Amino acid sequence: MIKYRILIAVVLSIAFRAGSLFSQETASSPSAAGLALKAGLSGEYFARTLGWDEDAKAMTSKLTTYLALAHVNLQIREGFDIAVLAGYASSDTGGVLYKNLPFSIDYEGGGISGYLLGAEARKSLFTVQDFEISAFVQFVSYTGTEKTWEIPGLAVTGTVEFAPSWTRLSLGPVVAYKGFLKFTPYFSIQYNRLAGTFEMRQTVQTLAGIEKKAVKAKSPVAILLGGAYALTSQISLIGEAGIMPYQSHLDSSFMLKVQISFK
Amino acid sequence: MSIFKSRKTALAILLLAVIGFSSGSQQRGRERTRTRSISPRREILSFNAGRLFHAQGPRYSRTDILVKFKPTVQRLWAETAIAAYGARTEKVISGLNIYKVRIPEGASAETMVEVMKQNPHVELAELNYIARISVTPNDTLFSLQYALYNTGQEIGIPGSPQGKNRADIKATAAWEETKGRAETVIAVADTGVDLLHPDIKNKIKSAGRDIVNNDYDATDDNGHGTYVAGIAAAETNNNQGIAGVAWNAKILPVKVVDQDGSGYYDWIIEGIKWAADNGADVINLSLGGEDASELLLEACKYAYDKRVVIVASAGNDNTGVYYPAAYDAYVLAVSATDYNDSRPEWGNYGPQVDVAAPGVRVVSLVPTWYFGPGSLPYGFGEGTSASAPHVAGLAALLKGYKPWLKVNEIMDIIRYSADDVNSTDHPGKDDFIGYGRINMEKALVPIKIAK
Repeated sequence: MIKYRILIAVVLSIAFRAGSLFSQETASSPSAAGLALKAGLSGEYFARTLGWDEDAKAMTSKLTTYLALAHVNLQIREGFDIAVLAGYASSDTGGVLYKNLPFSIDYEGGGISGYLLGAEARKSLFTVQDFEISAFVQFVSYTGTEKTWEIPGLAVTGTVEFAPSWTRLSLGPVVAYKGFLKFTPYFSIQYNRLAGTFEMRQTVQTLAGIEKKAVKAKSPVAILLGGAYALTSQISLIGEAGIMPYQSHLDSSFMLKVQISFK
Repeated sequence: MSIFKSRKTALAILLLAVIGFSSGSQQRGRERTRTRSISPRREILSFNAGRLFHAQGPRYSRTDILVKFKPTVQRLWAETAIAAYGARTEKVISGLNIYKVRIPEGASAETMVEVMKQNPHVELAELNYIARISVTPNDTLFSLQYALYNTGQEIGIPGSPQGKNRADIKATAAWEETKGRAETVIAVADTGVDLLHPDIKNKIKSAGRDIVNNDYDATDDNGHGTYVAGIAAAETNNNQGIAGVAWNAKILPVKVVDQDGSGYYDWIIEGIKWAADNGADVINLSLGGEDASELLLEACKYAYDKRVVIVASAGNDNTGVYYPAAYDAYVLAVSATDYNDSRPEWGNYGPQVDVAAPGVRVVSLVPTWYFGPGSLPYGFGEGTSASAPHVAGLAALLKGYKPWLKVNEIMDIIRYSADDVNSTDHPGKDDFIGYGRINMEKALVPIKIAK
């Protein structure tokens, strides 16, 4: 909970700082080139293979997530954006086993809704002919709302309460082709670290237990291909597909975003 | 005096009611019935024509009593005090500070107890009651072990009773999850164990302790203990005989019951303590007496405090739950069900019954000497003595699989995971099968939380 509050404070301070910077720049320097505020809405789906330990044995399961994010971007100067993100997600952590509880649990209870907060930044590094190379970093934190289930089949009533949380850090270069008028395709290879803690609490009459399962996405690399299409001078549509290879598996992600610029 | 008279009356009744093995020995070998071609071809014999065994004999020792002095009393002073009554100290169960006192010639045990209670240095004085075993063996092979996996098969030769499909303790599903650990030890406090039986010799932790004959060779001279040990932890997956519930656990034999199937409470108290002090994780007590004893209760508490799960049979006399099974806080009391998940009418009942397990026509080991040459050393048995080791085996699997669990947690998991198989007539926990017939799958395999 403390971690969550700190994160909110960081995000809000970044937003506040960005907002005040934007108003200062526009007020004091009308000629400030490139300063812009953008707002966006994105929807994303990803399925990641998670790794976790069970009695020193490596186990895997899938994390499937649908998320919707609101983005507030501040373009500080041409080629340098920072943004705060907030949204909602449904994360299905099915397949993880909780054996350190009095009654072992195999969670297949479906998605858990929760809140997302995050921040991102993009900085243009250099251009080569029509290609622009920039650096991108994004951090997102998901906190699931606690949900309760009755444990089936016991001689007495018992419940489990489940609250997952995870964070994702994406970091890497983006190569964008700027040669088209309205369409900007891009390609990126990113370090993509997803890790979390799934907490399961159990109460069955006199029995009680808590198990916190540390999980981590098996693939730390994402290969992304996307494109931004300018519908108008202020509205653009961005689509992106990604794969995250893990041994012979391929995890995947898809993202669609609408962005409005206020210049 | 009135107490004395009423006890005499009670004794007469109890002599008729108490179960045991002595009459069973007269029946040995008699029940060699029809033949059939099951593998192996030799058939499984019966100890007692499939009937319950009923022990006979006195309810308590006429020659000695049990006394516990207050903790401040030194041993020298205690023995001097005992001698002052004309009695003598036969044995001290160290750690529990219990003195087995040989009463003077001609004195009655009841009177001596009352006299000792008057001594301000004495904390407890009791008759040395006698507990008795509650079951017997008969037949063989896993396909006959409906208790572990019931397909509705005939339990024995053609024409034998058929069970109801899945009226069992779900052992095979649980074994998928865990087969237990070789470090987990089930002490079988009983008549001893046949240490050379081919289907259990590799599972014996040591020759154990013979409290009855005061040595360290708990060889079975009755058959009951071997039968009980086999249900709990016969060698499994070894291409012969039967499977034990606790696939990998070890057996620690403790002989606390004599050849006739009777055991003084002091033997049982000492056996419980010895087992707890010598590495037992679970103690199975397929025995019981009608009489409560503070000292027996203390022994159970001693083991419980040492993180030992105690499992005891409720008894087979359609009466109140026997001791030590009735010590609810420290002991899991086990009643019986049959191959249809029904309660046999002979099962003892009461609020202390925690769970039930199959106790009718249960196949297990008998000592190799029992039926003699040419016979298979397996037999069918019946009673809560057969039920208890199923639960002891489950407790051992839980202990090995989740070693961090406390004793009360293991007991509760066994209780709460039971199937309420008599819910039509007695929904919820009842006096007959407690929370229900144990379900190893629910106790051990992850329970699915679905959408």
